Amino acid sequence: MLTTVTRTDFDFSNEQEAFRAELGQFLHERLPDDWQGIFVEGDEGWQLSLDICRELGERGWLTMAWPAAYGGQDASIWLQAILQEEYWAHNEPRGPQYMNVNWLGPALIHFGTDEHKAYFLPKLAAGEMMWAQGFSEPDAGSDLAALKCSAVPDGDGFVVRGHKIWISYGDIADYCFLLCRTDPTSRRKEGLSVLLVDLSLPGVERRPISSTLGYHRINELFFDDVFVPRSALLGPQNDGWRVAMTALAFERSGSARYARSARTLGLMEQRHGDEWDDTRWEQYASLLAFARATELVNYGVISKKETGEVPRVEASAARIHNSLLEQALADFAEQTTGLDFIVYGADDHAVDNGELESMWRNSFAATVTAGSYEIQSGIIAHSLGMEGRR
Amino acid sequence: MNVELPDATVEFAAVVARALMADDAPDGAGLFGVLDEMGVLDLAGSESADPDNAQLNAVVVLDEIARAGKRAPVAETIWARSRGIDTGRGFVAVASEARMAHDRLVPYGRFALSLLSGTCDAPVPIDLPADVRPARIEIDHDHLWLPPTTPAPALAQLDQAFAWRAASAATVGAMARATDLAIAHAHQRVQFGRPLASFQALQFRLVECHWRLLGLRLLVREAGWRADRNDGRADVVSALAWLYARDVGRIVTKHTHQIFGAIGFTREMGLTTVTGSAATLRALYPARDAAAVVRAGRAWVDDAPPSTILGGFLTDHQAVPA
Ligand SMILES: Cc1cc2nc3c(=O)[nH]c(=O)nc-3n(C[C@H](O)[C@H](O)[C@H](O)COP(=O)(O)OP(=O)(O)OC[C@H]3O[C@@H](n4cnc5c(N)ncnc54)[C@H](O)[C@@H]3O)c2cc1C
Repeated sequence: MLTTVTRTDFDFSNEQEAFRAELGQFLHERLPDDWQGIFVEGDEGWQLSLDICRELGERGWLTMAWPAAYGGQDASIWLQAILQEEYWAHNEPRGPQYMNVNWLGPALIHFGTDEHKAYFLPKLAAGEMMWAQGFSEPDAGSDLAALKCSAVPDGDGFVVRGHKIWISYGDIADYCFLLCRTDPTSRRKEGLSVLLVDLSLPGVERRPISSTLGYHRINELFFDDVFVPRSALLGPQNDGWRVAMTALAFERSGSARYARSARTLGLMEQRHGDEWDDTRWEQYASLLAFARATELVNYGVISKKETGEVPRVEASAARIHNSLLEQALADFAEQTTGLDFIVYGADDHAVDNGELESMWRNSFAATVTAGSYEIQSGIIAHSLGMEGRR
Repeated sequence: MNVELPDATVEFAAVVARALMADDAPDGAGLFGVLDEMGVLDLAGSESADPDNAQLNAVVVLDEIARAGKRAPVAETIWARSRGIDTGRGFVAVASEARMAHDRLVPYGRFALSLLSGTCDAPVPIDLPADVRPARIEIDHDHLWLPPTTPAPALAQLDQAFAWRAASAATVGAMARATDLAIAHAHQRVQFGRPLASFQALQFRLVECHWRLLGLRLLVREAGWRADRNDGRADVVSALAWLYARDVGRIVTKHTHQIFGAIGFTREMGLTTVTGSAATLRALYPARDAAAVVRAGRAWVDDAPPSTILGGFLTDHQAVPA
């Protein structure tokens, strides 16, 4: 019997680190000094994000770990991890296109037809297509299986009718990864399907929702008898729950939000470290420890993925780490940075262009978005053999 | 990058775990002999079967031992033998450091036949005076309380970074045991006609224990792995592991006691033994020292802060002279 020999290694290789440095240098030069990500920058930021994504695509720096046949370079999944870390640490210049690499592409590779792959994947690799994830509805949040948006089979396609809410980038996306009910008699998780919906189709209406979270962050999408061709179906008809859950598992484990936290910790230290007494430093050092543990849990997920697994439970644990780390940072910022954490970027008094404030303000959403803390905890509880009414 | 354990480590840990779990697995002195035979005590010494992974293997095995609820001064002996100190009949207790508030508290002193005395560089085993008896304090730890009349010896100091790793590994194992016990209890205990494990409020406490331990365990292993490579950040990561272990120890202790209710405080349940032993370690190795090492190691090359945590530390930093 063949046995595999595991070579434990807690470091990136020298070549990988060299690549990180090259990428970091590129981002440093290419992004404006006050770049805060498209949630803060508005329309200008969105245009810049599009330009940068095209450049990244030309360099092959979006989808390195994808198979060459799908526009990738068959590179190590760890190089992809470095890409993710550097982008997040630089306030995610890809905007919505981070999702393309994280979960959309993997879901298309996993469930897509040859036509899907041929049409979409090269565009994702080139950095020229923006997507939205259309799951939540007014009456289906955590309880996603309660969703009502219907897609009634009709000839060679489906007629979609329904209302999606809280959709990030819904105002600017080209396409929507839409979870809807294709069997009108079905209940809960049965009878659902995923449709890849062109948002320029007649009958689609987008409405941005005003919020404290920034531009493009949350939107409503209305589908008023939108005819979607059958070719838009991803995965088996009426088995969309499985498709969506697989996509979500990719989503939870693919985002290197922790890298932005590492940078924010450094920013706080840079500005205020000299003022801290020993007790504060103890608190800060403990935060660094939690942040390192968080990185490692994310690396554990990647190690699992490398073997071809879809690590659902580990991904939930990683997601919890990432979001609670952001909130721990926000608490620390409140206690240690004076007014820095509360002055908005556009204000003359903003520090580091309001980066800390933006982190602090958004930290409260960290445990809600992409599957709440409670939902992730429920997934882990289930894996530990704990059932019951939730 | 690959955070999975080497195959040989996984196999060795499984052998040790089986021996520890056996119905007739001894505790204390007997266990010590069994572990000695398996080579556990020489993991990091000149007789080590796997010198390249000595420190990694040590933390993995210390974790297993604590998780099995077994107690003996294994870490101390591994450390002593790694320094070429003849531990004689085996039992050795090392007073961790002179700076602790009560420098008369000796971990595992209750089992000890000799104490290592002296400095880190030149520890000398000394026989325990006949009148030294373990004193009982409220929570049942395996330590020895030297009576005030005995002049406290110049107690040996464990190599600080090793101590942080060993204490972290013991904390992971102890807290994993507390979590195992609490999960079992939550399934078995019925209130309001349902097992406690079906109440979401309690599930979430156990879930937090689970994910905290997942991260801590990886951090402790990283510390061992770096120590094996004489990596410049080995001491810093050992310090980080210990800082996080302290936090996780407190969190898991609170959650698991809450799940047990009143019965958790009885000696029969065994919960206070594990939560108490982790607390003793926290008392022995203060956060202050670990935080100081972390602080001293912080630096980065560019103006912009780094995008990884270790990118924010000097790579050639040695906190404690080897
Ligand atoms: C910034 C942001 C971006 C988002 N982007 C998208 C997007 O792009 N696409 C998309 O489809 N959705 C998106 N969402 C929506 C997100 O997925 C939902 O907010 C989330 O699923 C929770 O649903 P809800 O807001 O309706 O809260 P609710 O479901 O009403 O829950 C409210 C609170 O109750 C808790 N709760 C609910 N049920 C239980 C239970 N059984 N046990 C314990 N606690 C429970 C929840 O965890 C939460 O804390 C986004 C949300 C945010 C904040």
